[in-house]
Amino acid sequence: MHQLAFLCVGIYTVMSAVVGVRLVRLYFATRRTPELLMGTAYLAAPACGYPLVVLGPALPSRELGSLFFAAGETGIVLGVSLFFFFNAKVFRARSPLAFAAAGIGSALMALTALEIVRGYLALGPGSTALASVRAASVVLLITLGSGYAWTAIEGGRHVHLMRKRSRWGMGDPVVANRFLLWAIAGTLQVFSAIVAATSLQTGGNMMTDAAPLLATSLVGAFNSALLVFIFIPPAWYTRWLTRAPGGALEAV
Amino acid sequence: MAGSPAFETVCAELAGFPNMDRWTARGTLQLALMDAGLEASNASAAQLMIVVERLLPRQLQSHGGADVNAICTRLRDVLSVMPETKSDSPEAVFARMGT
Repeated sequence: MHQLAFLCVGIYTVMSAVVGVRLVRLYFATRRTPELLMGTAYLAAPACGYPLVVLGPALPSRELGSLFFAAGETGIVLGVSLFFFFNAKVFRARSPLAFAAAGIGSALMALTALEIVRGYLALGPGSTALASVRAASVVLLITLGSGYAWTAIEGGRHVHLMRKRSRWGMGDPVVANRFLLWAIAGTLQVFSAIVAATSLQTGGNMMTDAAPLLATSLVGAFNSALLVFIFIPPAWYTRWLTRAPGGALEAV
Repeated sequence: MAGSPAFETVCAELAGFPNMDRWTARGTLQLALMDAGLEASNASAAQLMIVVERLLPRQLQSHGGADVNAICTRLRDVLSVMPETKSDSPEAVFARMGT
């Protein structure tokens, strides 16, 4: 089980790093903020944060393990915060409420991560036994899940809009499909966060128990494939989507 | 909430016709945009051109006495000289990010 989890985290890490680097490189060509936000988010959270948080407790050196864990948590907070601001900037650019929500989400992530790291520095991997660390972890997962729910809702809303546009000869079917995959990826992440939070809430350990480990690992692996189709779509996939007018819109 | 430059331009032009005021023009155009799956905040001139050609006439017919042809011709003229600006609409962002 643990080997499968490590493999899935590995796949997700590599794919996120590839996508992150591509988006940051794209930013240097376009100089547009969304590319920078999303590219840095992928590099910070799934490419660096998640693997460091998993690796930290597995290291024999307590000091090095703590350093990895703290760096990982920092990466996750930074990445997810950028992800919140990407949602606000791209989908709700003129809404101060959206930016406020992104700010509140980021602050919650930072505060809860601080408590989790504080517990880890004191007790090591056994820190989840502390009530304050468990509570902080649950709040962090709820905040994370809320961010992904926002993603899923915006993705789904834009699939609906793109379907309407296609009736009038507007909208690119490839982009419409990208919104759909984006919504699916967000929904799966919400599911994963719910499973992990429920496990913690009921006294389980999300790093060792089968259900949360399997849910987070499989979602990571599946989302790796979605990352490819969203950000690096193979030529055959694009051809399939555009095989007929409205192609992707019919396919969804 | 403010609309895109193209949306605001069309609204201002539409509001100048008889039987129209600022709010009626805005509402009429908003309804046509909703039918097209567009959002006022990021609708481009090219998208509005399609709305004016294909959806707006139906909305305008509900306003008694409106000269639909004259209005739509004028709006098309205005839109045709509007420069296309680089957009950060969700559609444009997701189009760029997959290249």
